[in-house]
Amino acid sequence: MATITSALIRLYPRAWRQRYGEEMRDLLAMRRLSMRTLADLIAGAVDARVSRQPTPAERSGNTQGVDIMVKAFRCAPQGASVQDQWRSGAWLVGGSLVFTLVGIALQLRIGSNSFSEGLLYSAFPASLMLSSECTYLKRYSTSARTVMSIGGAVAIILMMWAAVAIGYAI
Amino acid sequence: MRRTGQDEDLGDFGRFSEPALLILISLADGDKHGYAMTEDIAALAEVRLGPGTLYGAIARLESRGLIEPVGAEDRRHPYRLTALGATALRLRLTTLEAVARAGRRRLSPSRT
Repeated sequence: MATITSALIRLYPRAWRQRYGEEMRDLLAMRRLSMRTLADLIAGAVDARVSRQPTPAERSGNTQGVDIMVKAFRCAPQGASVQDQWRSGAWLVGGSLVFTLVGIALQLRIGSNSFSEGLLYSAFPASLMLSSECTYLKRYSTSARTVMSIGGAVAIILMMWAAVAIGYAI
Repeated sequence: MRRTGQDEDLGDFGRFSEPALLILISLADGDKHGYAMTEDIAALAEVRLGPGTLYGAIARLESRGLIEPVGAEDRRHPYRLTALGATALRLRLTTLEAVARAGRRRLSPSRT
């Protein structure tokens, strides 16, 4: 029983478990574990992962503008503090600059080639993907954020490289 | 009927709207932890909230500042209604009373 309970609670996001895990465990210990309770816990875990609720501290860190954005776009950052937005801006500007400089350096060093050209084209969109790690993707776990932001940026660069290479071949 | 910010907040709870209302009503007469809330709600409304539903609604209410934890009692956190929560509850009950009145009026024999 305790094993099943622990396994079910592990379905919830880490932040949720830290906040409500012990309380839920206590509540489950006081009642019979029926199929209905199992279904309710699984539905609750899906909900906790899909519609993450900001903690009161995260919520108070939001500006009114961000709250309006959350309501307007639904996919907007939840719990992104002003500091997160600055970090996101730094990633966007810094990333664009670095990718562009690397692209130019490669062009100068080895001449015109599909990779460096693809890198120049993807400098902004790839940086935008990286910058989303601290805003739009903030509701996800650290590992999911890393995979989505870095994986997304790499995918954009590779696609742009492939597009330029195909352009050269044609 | 004009809807206020707090009222809309409770309406935004989706499938957690009714559990959230029941939790606010349960906490209106004193602080309770999760188990006490489910027992109180079962006695009050003949609805036994599952743990996933209960804590889904608690998380929403807490994140909007309508309820707050009081302090650990062993490992259990009792919760209490905040002033904002009491206002939201009053507004929601007023809305429900108006809806119930309209429903009863429409069901009255004189209209059939």
